[in-house]
Amino acid sequence: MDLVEYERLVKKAMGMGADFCDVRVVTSDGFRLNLLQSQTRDMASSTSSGAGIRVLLGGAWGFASTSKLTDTALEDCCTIAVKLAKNCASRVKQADKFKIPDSLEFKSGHHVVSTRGDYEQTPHEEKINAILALDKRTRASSPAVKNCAVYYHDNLVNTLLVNSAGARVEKSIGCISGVIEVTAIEGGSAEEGQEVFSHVGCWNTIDEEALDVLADSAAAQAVRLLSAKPCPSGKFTIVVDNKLGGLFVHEAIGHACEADELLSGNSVLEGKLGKKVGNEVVTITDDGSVLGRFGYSPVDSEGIPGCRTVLIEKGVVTAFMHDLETATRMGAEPTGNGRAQSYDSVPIVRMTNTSLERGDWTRDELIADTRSGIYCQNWVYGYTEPEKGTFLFKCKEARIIEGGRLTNLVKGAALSGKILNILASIDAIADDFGESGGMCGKKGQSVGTSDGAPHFRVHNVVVGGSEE
Amino acid sequence: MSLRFSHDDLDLEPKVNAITAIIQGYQDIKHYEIYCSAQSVISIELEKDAIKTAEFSKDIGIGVRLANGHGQSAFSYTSDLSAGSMQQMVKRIVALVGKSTRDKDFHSFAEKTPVTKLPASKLFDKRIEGLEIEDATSLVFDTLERARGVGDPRIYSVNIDLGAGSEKVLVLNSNGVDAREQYTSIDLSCSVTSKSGRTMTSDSDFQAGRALGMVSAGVGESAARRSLATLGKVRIKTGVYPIILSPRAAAAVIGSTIEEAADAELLQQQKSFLSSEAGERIAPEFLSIVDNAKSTRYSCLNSRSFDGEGTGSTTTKIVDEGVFRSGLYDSYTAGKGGTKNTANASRASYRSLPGISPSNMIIQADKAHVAKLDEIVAGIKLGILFDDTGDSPDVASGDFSGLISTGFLIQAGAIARPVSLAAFGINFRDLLNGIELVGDDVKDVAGTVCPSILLKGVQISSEIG
Repeated sequence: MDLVEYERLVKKAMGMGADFCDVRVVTSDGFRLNLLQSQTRDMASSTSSGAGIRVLLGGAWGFASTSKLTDTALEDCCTIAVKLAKNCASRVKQADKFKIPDSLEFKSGHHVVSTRGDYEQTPHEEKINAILALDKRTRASSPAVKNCAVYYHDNLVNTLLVNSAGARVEKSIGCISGVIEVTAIEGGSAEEGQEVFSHVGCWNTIDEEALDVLADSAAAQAVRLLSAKPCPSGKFTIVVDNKLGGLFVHEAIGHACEADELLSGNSVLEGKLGKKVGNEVVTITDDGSVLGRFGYSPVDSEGIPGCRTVLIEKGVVTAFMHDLETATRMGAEPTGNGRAQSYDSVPIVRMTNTSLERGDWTRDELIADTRSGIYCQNWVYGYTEPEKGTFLFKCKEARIIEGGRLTNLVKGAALSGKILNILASIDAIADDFGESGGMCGKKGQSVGTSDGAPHFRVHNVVVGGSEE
Repeated sequence: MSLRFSHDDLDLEPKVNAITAIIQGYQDIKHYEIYCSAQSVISIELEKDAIKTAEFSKDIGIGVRLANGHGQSAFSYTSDLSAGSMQQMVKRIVALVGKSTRDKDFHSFAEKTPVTKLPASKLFDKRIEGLEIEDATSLVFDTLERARGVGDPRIYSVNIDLGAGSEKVLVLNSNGVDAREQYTSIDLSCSVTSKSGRTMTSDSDFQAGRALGMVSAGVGESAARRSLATLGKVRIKTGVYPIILSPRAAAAVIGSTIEEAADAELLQQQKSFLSSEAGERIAPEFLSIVDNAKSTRYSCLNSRSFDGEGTGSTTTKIVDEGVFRSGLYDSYTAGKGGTKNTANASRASYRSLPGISPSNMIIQADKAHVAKLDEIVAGIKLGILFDDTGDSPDVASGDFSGLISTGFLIQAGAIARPVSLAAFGINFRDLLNGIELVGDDVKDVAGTVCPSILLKGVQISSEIG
C-alpha cells in the first residue's frame, strides 16, 4: 500500500463521522548489541512494521494499531478507531469538545525528509569491531579498570503519514545511541564511569574518534571517583556543568512547558504564561529543526514541521510546546512537538532539542567568582514531581569550590529543591555550550531528545550528600 | 470489538513448524529457540475529569534465537509471518551468529524441565477477554464518580488510566522445551491532584491483577483520600527518626532494590552489593524474601507456569531467615555460574530478548515479629510514616539517598500531619539490618507482596524550602 491507499482509509473514517483522522505506517530496521565482559551479548537485527489509525470524533480520540499491514487488518483498524472514538464521544462534556481547525491545512503539506547515511552500506561487522575496540581501549587505560560494558542500538525508521488536514509525510530518520559504562575497582571499592553517545544518521556518518573520546572519559571518571570523598550536605551555591545543566533544563523546565502537562494540571507553570518566573539571564528554547542534535524532528508525527520555540525569554514564560490537540484547546499554533514512539503509540507533546541559551561569563569566571560552593558535574539520574514543583538530581561527581578555586573531589551529591525557586536563583550563565542526546520516557513512550546548556551558577540549592 | 483473537491469529503452529524447518537447513546452527506471542490491549485515559483517548492494539509475531557450537548467538524477530519474511529473518540471524564473539559460558538455551501448569483460572479471565469498550469506559467513569464522591472541594483534578490485555505465549527450543499458556491482565490507576490555597499536591492509587474482579472503582475514592491527606505539610527537623515504610514504600524501596541486586547478571559482574554476600547474613533472622512464580494467592500478576525461556516455574528463597541464599537466574547465567536455573527469564513480547526479573516477590517475617500496624504506630513517640519515593539506591555500593516524596509525621503514637519534602540517607545494608518489626497489613503492590516495615532509625539530613 502507498500514500494513496492510506488516504482512502482517512476518507473512510471521515465518511463514518470523524472530524479528523490520521494514518501512520512505520517500517524500521534495527541493530542492537550489548558488550558485557568483552562478550557480545543480546546481538539482534530486526525489521518491524505496523500501522496506527487515529480518529477524533465529537471531542474524543479513538486509536487502533496493528502489526499486520494487510488490507483487511487496516480496514479493521479504521473501523475500530472510529468505534472507540464514538464510544468515548458520548461521554465528552460540551465544554471539553474541540475540533482541529480547518486553517491547519495551511501549516501542513507534503514533506519528504531523510537523514544522512545509508543503512545498508555498513555491515554490522564494522560496528561490532568498533565496539570491541572501545572495550579494549578502556581496559588498557588503567590497571584499575576491570570491566567495560557498551550498550549499542541503531535503527532506520521510515514513516508514511497522511491526515485529513492535508499533511503528506514521507520520513526516513536514522539514529544511533548507546552507553559506555566502565567499572574501576581498587582496594575493595568499586566506581562506575559512564558516557552516553547519540547520533542522527547511519553508522557511515558517525565520528568514531568521538566515541574513543567518550570511552576515555568514562574510564577516567571511574578511576577518578575511586578517590572521591562523600559530598557534604546543606545549602550551597552551585556551579552546574553542561551535562547536569542539560538535565535540569529538560526535567525541571522542559516537561513543565509541555502543554499537555499544563492541561492535565501537572505543571508548575500553569497560569504563568507572560509572567516572570526566572532571573532575566534565563532564556530557554526547544528546536526540532536542528539536524545535528538527537532530538531532530523535521516533521512531527502529526505532520507539523519542527521549529524553534522560545519557552522562556529573559525569565518570562513566552510559549509552550504543543501538539495538535493542545494547540487547539489553548488557542495556540502547533509547534511540531507531537511525537509518537512508533506506529502503536499516539502522538503526545514531547521535547526535541531543548537548550538554555548562552550567557556572557566564562566557566572559569563563574568558579573564580564563587567564594564557597560546589561544582556539580554529570548526572546519575534525575526526576521532577511537576504538580508539586519539586526536583531531585543526583550528580555523578563534584568538586568543592573554596575561595574561587576547585578543590576536593566528592561524590553522591543529590540536589533538590523547588523548580521556580531555582529559576529565580540562577544569576550567571557562561558563554560555552554542551549538549547530549538520549531517550526520554513519558507515558510509556520513549523518543530521542537532546538537552543542552552552558555552565551556570545557582544560589541556595539543597545538597543532600551523605556527610553532615 | 473485544480482546479476543481470531482463530487465524492464534494458529501459530504452522508458522513455528515452517521456521523450525528453515533453521534445520543451516548445519552450523546447533541451538534454537522460538518465542511467539499474540497480544491485544484496550486502554482508556481520562485526564482532568474528561475522557481523552481510547486505544486498541493487536500485535502478533515470532522472535528467534540461534547459536552455534562455539557459543556464538544472535536474535531477530518479525511480525510479518509470511514464508519469505521468516526465511529472511533466519538468514539474517545466521549471518550475525558468525560475527558474535565465542562465548565459553554459553552451553545451550533452557533445558527441558517439568512444567506444572498453574490453574488456568488464576491466569486467565474470560471476562477480561470479552471486555467490551463500553464496559471499560463505564468502569473508568465509575472510578471518577467515586473520587469526586468524596465530596471535598479541594479535589482539583482526577486522572484515570485503565488497561486490559489478553496474551498467548508459545516457547519451544532445540532441547525439547515446548510450553504455551494464555494470560489476561487488567490495571486501573487513579491520580488525584488536590489544591488548598496556593498549595497543590497529588497522590494516586493503583490496582492490578489477572481477573476483572481484582480492580474496582473504589480505587478512585482511595486515591482521593490519599491526595487530600497530603495537604497541609509541616517541616520536620533534621535528625534520626524511626521510620515505618508503608507497603507501597516497602515495595518501592526493598522490593525493587532486592530485585536488581539479586539479578544474576549483576552478581556475576560484581556490580551488586550482594555479589560477595552469598551465604552471609544481610537482614535480621526473622526476615525472608521469596520469589514465587507459582503463587496462586494475591493478584497472581506475575504468576506463570514457565518463564520466558520455557523453564518450569520455581520458588526461590532469595533471603532465607536473614541469609542471602540465591540470586535470580536465567539459563545463561545459571550455566555460567554452574548453578540452578531459577526460571526468572522474562520477556515483554516476541520483540524482546529475555532479561532477568522476579515473578511475585514476597517479603515476610516470622510470626513473633509481626505486629498490628496500629500497635507499631502507637509505640512511636516521634517518627515518620514513609509512603513514597522516586529514588533508588546505587545497587553496587548499596548507598541510598533521596527524597521522601510522600510521608507523614508520627507524633505521640498517632499519624499526624504530612511532612514537607525531606531527604534521607542510609546504606541499604544498614536499612535491612535496621528492620525491627513488620505490620499485619500485607498488600500486593503490583506483584510485590509485603507488609509495612518498621526501621530502627534513618538519618533525615535536610529539609527543602
